[in-house]
Amino acid sequence: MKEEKDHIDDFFKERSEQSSFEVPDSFLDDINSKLDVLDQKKKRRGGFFWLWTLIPIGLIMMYVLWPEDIEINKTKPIVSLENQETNAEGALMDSMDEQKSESILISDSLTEENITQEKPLNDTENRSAEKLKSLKNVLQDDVKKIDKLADENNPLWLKEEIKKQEVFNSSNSNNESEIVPPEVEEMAIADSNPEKNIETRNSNINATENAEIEGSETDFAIDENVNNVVVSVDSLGNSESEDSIINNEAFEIDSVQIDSLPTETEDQDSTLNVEEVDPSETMLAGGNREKGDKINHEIQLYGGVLNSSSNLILSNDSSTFPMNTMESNLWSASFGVMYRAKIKQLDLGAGLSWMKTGEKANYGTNTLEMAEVDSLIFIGWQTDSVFNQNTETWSIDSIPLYDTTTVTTYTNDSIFYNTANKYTWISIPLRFGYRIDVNEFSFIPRVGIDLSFATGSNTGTYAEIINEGLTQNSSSRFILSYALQLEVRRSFDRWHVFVNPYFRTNVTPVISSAIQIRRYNSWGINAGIGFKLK
Amino acid sequence: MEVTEDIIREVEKGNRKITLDLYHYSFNVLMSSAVRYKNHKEDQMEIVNNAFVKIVKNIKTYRPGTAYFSWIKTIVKRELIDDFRKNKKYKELFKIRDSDSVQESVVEPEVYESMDSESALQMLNVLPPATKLVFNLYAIEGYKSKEIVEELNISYETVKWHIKQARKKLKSLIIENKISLKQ
Repeated sequence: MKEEKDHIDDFFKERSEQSSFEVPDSFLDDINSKLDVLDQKKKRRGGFFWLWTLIPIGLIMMYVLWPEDIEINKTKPIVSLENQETNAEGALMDSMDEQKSESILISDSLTEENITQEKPLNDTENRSAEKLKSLKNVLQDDVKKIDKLADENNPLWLKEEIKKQEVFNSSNSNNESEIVPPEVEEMAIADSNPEKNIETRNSNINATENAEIEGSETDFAIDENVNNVVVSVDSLGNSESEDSIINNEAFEIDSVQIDSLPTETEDQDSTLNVEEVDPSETMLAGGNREKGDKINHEIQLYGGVLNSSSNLILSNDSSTFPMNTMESNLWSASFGVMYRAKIKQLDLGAGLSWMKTGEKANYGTNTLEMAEVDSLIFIGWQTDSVFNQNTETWSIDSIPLYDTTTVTTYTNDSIFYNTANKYTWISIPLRFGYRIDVNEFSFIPRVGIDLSFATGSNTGTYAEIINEGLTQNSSSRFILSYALQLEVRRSFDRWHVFVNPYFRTNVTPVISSAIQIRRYNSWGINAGIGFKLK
Repeated sequence: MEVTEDIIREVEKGNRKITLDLYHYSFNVLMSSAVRYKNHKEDQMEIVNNAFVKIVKNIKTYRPGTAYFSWIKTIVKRELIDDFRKNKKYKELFKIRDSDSVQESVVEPEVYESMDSESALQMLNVLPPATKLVFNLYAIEGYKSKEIVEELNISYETVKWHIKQARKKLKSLIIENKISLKQ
């Protein structure tokens, strides 16, 4: 019976190997369409790869190559009347002869910035620009003359104003509770309200000087901190108005606004029109204003080591192997590049990093092999009538009957397996921190998340179930982790070096099977070098 | 045709001509597996072409110089098993039914010699799907009973019963075939 069994098995095996087939056309059409779909998927995957690669690179390049002058153009005009000395100069300017005012008016709205930044000019415009340049030089000379005259002929009222301001400043800085003279108090109020300040100043100026000027007035204000001069010219009886910005060698003029006042009654109320003044900036007039809340851009390159340990959740199945008792931590390397932006003391970062996590394993497990042995047993006789064709007689024949029994035997094999399961990740770390500066050192505690993508097959070998030997599990293709870190850095001008101890743990599991859910906790330290982009 | 590194590279690149050459080269092996499990042409096509797409996708894992046909046989076997398991009620197909029991017959060895591969294939196709699958895996693919138990998630006894049933049925078919040939 056993032989017969072998016969029938072998027969079908042999016959199946003998068969040969021609490829039908319908099969070819189908495989062609399937291959088309496969090609499209490949292309799409390639597109996604480049997209994900180019986005961070593009962002970094954008920050590196972002032209600074765009920020300058965006800078809103700042009017500061905090410095009375400067205002006094401005007031003096107002009182100067008409020649200067006219010069400014002639200069119209054509400026150096217009000449250099706007679209190419035609010949007529070029001539006008040259004319303007020459006029501007005349104006600059006038300004110098005015400065000189102001120094020589400080009028009494100006001296008094300066004196008042000094008293006011000293009273502000020394004793706030001190009784303040009403005029000074008024000025203090004006200081706290830039708009009002502007109006107050102008009304003072107007009251004193309008009679002399009769037609135009010029208000100069020099902001000490930014070294800018804001010029406003209100021309009276002039039907056209335009803005002009004049650059000076000694100081940069951010904006000149020439307002034409349609009626003479408005002459008494000449206000300084400043468009889109950021209140937060003008409010800084009385305080120590750090120049610009500019974003500092930095790039860091780093490398380091990390020690990862398994955070393992095993199923309650009694046949689960206690894997964690035979595993130990894994030391591995990491490296990467980070872009960081500093906004005030806040620190934001994004980058690209490479790292490995995993564990060392020294499994001593077993396999219980089941072996089957088929054996024949005699079960009796079967009698049958057989017709003999030669003799043409019937005879009774006895045929022995057999049956098979299957005996199952178990073989227990011990397996000893020493391995390190390593999982490689390309991560996009996103960090948020706060910078504490102590001289040339900075301490930056940070929190963040890592978006990690598996590279390669990322498979690990585990002894999951008792008696089942070893099984292979593939990691998740994407995991999310969070990280805590403290960067300590030492700065050298644009460069800095840093060390960065950190803790990182997986939020989503790396290995997830019916038997185990495995995450990794990692402690590590990175060290590297960084530089400011601007 | 030998599957060399150049061919692998071209297939990876998506060279359609080389890929189709490889398809023709692999077709006999894939089809001979498919016809043993599937009776209908469309089903066979589905198995063969899906298996070939997997071969193309994973061609980089094949090491030139090693047994290519064994490798693709493994792929088509997996495809067949997966296809069978797609049927959520596939386990019900394995239920042992007494009514299916067939009388044991004895076939003389010389009878086998007279039968060709086409007849053998036709006989296999007469078997119920579950019995055909188990018998194919056991007798032709060379799986052990334990492996079939794991693959199909059925009991050891069920596997044994289907093998036994297949043998009995095939023997009776062979005898019938012999009688019809004589007549």
